[in-house]
Amino acid sequence: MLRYFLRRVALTVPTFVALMFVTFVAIRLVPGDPVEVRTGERGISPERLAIARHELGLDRPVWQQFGDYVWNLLHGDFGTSLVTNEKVATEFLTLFPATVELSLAAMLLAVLIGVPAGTIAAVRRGSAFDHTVMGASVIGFSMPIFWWGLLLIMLVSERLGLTPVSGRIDLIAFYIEPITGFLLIDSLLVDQPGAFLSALHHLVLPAIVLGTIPLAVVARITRSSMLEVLSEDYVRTARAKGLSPLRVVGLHALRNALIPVITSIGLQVGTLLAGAVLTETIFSWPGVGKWLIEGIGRRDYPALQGGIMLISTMVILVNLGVDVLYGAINPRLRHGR
Amino acid sequence: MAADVSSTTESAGIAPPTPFADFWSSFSENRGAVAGLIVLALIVFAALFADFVTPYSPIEQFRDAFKAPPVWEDGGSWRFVLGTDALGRDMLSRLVHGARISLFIGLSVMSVSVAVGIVLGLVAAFAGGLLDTVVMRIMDLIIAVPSLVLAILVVAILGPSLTNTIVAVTVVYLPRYVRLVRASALSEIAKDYVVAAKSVGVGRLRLMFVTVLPNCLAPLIVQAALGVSDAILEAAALGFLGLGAQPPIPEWGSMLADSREFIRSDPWIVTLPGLAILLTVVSINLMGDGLRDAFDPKLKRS
Amino acid sequence: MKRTFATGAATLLAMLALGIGAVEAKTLVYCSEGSPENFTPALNTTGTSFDAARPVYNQLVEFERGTTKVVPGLAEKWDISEDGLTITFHLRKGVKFHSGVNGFKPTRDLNADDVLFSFDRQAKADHPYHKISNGKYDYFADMEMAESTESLTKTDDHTVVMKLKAPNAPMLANLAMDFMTIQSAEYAAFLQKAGKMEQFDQIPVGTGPYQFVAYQKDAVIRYKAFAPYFGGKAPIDDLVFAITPDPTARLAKLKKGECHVMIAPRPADLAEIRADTNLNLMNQPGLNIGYLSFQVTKPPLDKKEVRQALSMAIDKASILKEVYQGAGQPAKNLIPPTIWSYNDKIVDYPYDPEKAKAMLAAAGVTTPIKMDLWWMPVQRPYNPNAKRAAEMMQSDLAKIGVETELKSYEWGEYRKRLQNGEHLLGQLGWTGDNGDPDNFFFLLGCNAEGKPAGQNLSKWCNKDFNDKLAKARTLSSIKERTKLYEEMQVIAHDEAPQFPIAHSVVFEPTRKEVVGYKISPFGRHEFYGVDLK
Repeated sequence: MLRYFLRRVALTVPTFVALMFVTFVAIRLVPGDPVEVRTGERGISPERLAIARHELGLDRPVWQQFGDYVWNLLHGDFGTSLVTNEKVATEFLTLFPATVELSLAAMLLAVLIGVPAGTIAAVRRGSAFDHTVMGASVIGFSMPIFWWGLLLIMLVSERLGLTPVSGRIDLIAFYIEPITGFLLIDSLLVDQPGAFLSALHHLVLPAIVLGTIPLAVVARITRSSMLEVLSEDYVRTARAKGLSPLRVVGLHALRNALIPVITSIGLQVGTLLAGAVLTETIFSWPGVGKWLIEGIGRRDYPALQGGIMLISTMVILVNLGVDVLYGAINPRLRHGR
Repeated sequence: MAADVSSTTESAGIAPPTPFADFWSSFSENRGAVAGLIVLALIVFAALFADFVTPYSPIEQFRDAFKAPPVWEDGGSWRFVLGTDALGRDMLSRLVHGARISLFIGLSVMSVSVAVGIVLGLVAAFAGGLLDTVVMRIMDLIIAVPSLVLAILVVAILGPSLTNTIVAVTVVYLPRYVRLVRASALSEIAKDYVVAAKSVGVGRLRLMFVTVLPNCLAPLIVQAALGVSDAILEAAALGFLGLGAQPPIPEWGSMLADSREFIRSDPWIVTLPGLAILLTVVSINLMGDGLRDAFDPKLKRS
Repeated sequence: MKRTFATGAATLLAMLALGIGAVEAKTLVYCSEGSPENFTPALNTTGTSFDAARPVYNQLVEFERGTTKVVPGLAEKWDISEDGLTITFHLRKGVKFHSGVNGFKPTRDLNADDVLFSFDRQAKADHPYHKISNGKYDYFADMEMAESTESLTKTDDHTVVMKLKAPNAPMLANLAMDFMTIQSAEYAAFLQKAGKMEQFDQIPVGTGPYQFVAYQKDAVIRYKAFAPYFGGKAPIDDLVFAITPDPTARLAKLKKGECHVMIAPRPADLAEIRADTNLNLMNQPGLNIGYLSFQVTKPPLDKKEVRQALSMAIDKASILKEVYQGAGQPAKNLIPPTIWSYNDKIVDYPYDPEKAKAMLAAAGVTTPIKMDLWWMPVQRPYNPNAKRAAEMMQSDLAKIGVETELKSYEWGEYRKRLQNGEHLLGQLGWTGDNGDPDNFFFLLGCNAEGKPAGQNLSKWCNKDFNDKLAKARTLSSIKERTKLYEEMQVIAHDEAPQFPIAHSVVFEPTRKEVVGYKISPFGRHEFYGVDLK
C-alpha cells in the first residue's frame, strides 16, 4: 500500500513541473502584454512601453523569467499581481473560499438528492419514478449551465422573488469581516443574527446551477451501480434470508454501490471548478474562476500562473486521493498498472 | 421497458442475426435512444438542408422588424415564426443554420480527437516504457487544468474563430480518448489471440490497427457519441464568453451571449438558442446511452 | 486568511457603527462594476479605480460635482501671473487627514509637503515612492505634466508655486483630474518606517469626505463618513460599493432595494427602469464620441470621395436606434455638443446609398470591393455594442458593393493594431478627461514632421488642421480658440477621416429615496452631498 502510494506521488512530481513550465510559456504566448492592456484609448508610446516592460522584467528571455519564478516559488512566493500589486497567494486565498463554498454546496446538493433518487430508481427499476429520474438526469447532464443560470435568475429571483440576484450576503444589513473566508462559517462566528441565513439564501441559486450536472451524474451512477450490486449473489442471499428490503438496500447494497459514486465525485472536482467559471460570471460570485478569466483578459501573468498552478495542484491532489482511496478499497488495482 | 417483445421477435428468426441486426435490436429496446435518434436525425436533416428549409438568410437584417416577437407572443406574426433578433434577423433561420455550425464543431472535435486519440493511445499501449509515460503524463497535465480555463487560454493564444474553437475543445477532450484507447488496448494485448498473432509474425502496425483496434471500438464509439455533445456544450460556453465563432456566424452560444441584455425585455431571444443547445445535446446523449446499452452486454443484462 | 489591511481599528469602528449606530445610520449602497486596481489614482487608468478612490481624496482644484467647471478644492484660491507662466496656490487651512486607518494617526493638518509629495512621486524617478506598486503614472505622462512644468515648490506651509514652461490653457483642468490627487506625506513616511510601503496604495488615507473601512476583492468596498471633513460631514454615514459586474444583476438589485445607485444600465432595460415607480432615471449627454476610423493611407480610402461615399452608405439612425437603443445622439463632429466651440453649422452627410454608389463609381472604385471592418471586443461608454454596430454597417455597406470582413482582437491588441494602422475601417472612440476641446482634437493630431500620432487612427495629416490645433493650444482667449476649433471641424467634415457615429447619453438609475445625486459628464460617480430620505 505504501509503495503504491509513493509511486503515485512520485509520478505527479514531473507532471507538476511540466505543468508549471507549459503554463508559464503558454500565457506568454497570448498576444498583447500587461502594459498595453492597461493603457486606454490613448495608447502608449513605444519608448514608454519599452521602459515599462523593462521595469516589469518582461523584456528578458523567457527561460530567465522562468528561472526566477521557480526560485521564488521554492521560497513560497507566487509573485505579485501586475494589476493590483497584491501578492498572488493573498488574492487567491481571499477568493478561493468563495469558490470552495459554492462547489461544496453544489456537491452536497448533488449527493443529497442524487444518491437517494438513484437508489430508489434502481430499486424500482422500470417504474415511472425511474423513468422520471433518468429523463431528468439526461436533461441535467446536457444542460448549458450559463443559459440555465440566466433562466433561473429570471424566473426564481426576478419573477418569483424567492432568492437574491447576486452577491454572497445582504450588504446593507450585515458586515462580516472575513475570518475564515467561508461566509457560512464567518456569519456564525460573529454575533449578527440573520447573517447566516442571509448568506445561505444567497448561496442557494448558484449552488443549484453549479450542482445540476453533478446531480445528474451522481443520480445516474448511483442507479447503475446499485443495479449491479443488487444482482450480486450476496444481496440475493440477504434477500432470500428474508431481510427487509430497506435493510438489504440501505445496509448491504448501498455501501458497496457508493464506491463508484465517491470516485466520480472526486473526478468531478475539476469539472466543478470549470463550471464555477461560468456560474461565478453569471452570479457575480467573487471566486477564483472569474478571477482567472479576468487574469487572461488583463494579461496578469503572475496571477494567472499562480491561479492555474494552485487549482491544478488541487485537482491533481484530489485525483491522487481518489486513486489512493480506491486502491485501498480495491486491492486488485494495486497490483495492476 | 419493451425488452421482452423485441427480443422474442428477434430470436424467432432462424438464421443467426447479423451484427447490425443484433445491435439494432439492443438499441431499439431503449425508447429514449430511439427518440433521441429521431430528433437528432431531424436536426441533422435541417442542418444539411438549412438553405432550403429556412425562410430567410441567417444574416439578412430586416430593419423594419427589430426584435419582432415570436408568433405565439403578443404582436407576433407568421412572417417571423420564432421572431427576430436585435438586428432584425430571422431567429428560425439563424437557429437552423446554427445547428449546422454546432454539429460541425461537435463532429470535427470528435473525429480529430478520436483519430489522434487512437494513434496516441495505441502507441502508448504498444510502446510502453518511456514513450507511454510521456504521453500519459501529458494527458494528465491537460486534465489537471480546469477544462474551460484551458480552452479559453488556447483560444486566447490562437485568437477567437470557429477553427480555433475546434482546436481548443479538441485539446481539452483529447485525454479521455487516449486513456480509453490505451486502457482497452492494454487489456486486449494480454489476450490469447493477440499473443497468437504476434507469434506468427504479424507486423506491428497491422497488429495495432487491424488486430487490436477493432476490439477496442465499442467503448470508443460510445465515448465518441457522448463526446460530440460535450464538444457542443463546451463550444457554446466559449461562444457565450465571446470567444467562439465570429459575427455574423449564427453560433448558438454567441447568439445567446449577444442577446443576453434582452433577458428582461425580450426573453425569447435568449431562451431559444439555449433551448436549441439543450435539445441537440439531450438527443445526442440519449442516443449515446442507447449505444452504450447496445454495446455493453453487462449493463444490458442487469 | 484575514485580509492584511483590514486592521483591528477598522474592524472596531465598523462594529461600533453596526452595533450602536445601526438603527439610525444611513447606508448608501452603490452597485459598481468591478474591483479597483488599487486606491492611488495616479497609478490607475480606469474609471472603476478612480471611483473607488474618490470618496477618500481631494485635489488642489476640483470639478464641481455634475459639471466640468473647475472650482477650489484643497487650494482655496490661486493666482495666475500676467505672463501665464506662474500659478500660485493658497492651500486651505485646518484640513484634517483620516485618523485610525491602518493604525495611522496624523499629527498635523494638510500642508504644502503633501502637495509636493503627491507631485514628486510621479515626477521624480528617485523619489522613494516612485517605484512602489510598479510605479507607472500613465496620466501624468499622457498629460505631459513633466514636460510642461518647470518646477513645483513651496514658499510656506500653505503656499505652493507652479512654474510652467509655456502658457498652458488646460493646466488647471489637468490638476483637477484624479491623477493629481493629494495624498498624505506623513502616512507615506509612517509606512516607510514600518517597511510596508506597498500598503500606501492599498489602504488609502486622505482628506476626503469618506474614510476607508475595508475592501474585499470582487465583493465589496466600505467607507464611513469622516466627521471633520472640511466641507462638513457627509449626510450618508456608511457608503458601500457592492461590486456587481453583471448589468442585469445590478438592475435586479436596484429594483429590490439591495442598492441605491447603479452604474451603466443596459440600454435594453431603460424602458423597464422608466416604468418602475421606485426608480429615477437620470441622464446627461456624455462627454464622448464613438467613431469609425477610415485608414486614409490605404487605397481606396486615400480618396476623400470614397470616404464621403462610405459616410453616406451607413445608416446612422438605425445604429442609434438598435445599438444605442436611443441612448445617444448622432454625431457629426469629433467633439460632443456639450463642449464649447462645437460647430453646429456643420450638416451631416445624409444616408443615401444610391448617391454613395454613384460616388464610388465616380471615384473609380470597381465594386464589389473587399474591406475589413474592426469592432472592439469590449463595451465602452461611447459604444455599447461595437459588434452589433459592425454587423449593421456590414449589411449597409454590402448594399453599395463593399463586402466587409468583420475582425476583432483582444482589447489591448486591438488598440495596438489600430494605432499601427493595420485596419481599413476600425471602430473606436474617446471619453473626455477634462472638458477642453483640445482633449478631443488631439486625436487627429500629427507631430511637427507631419507624422500621425499613435492615437490618430486614421493616419490623417492635414497641415491646415494641424497648424490650427497647435496654435489653439498656446492661446488663452477662449474666443480665439473657438474660432480655430470651428474651422477645424469644417476641415474634418469635408475630409472625412472618420465617420462619427454617436455621442452616447449616460443614464444612471437611482432609487427614489436618493436625493442630490448628479451625473458627472466625466462618467464619475460621486457621493458627497448625496442623501437618502
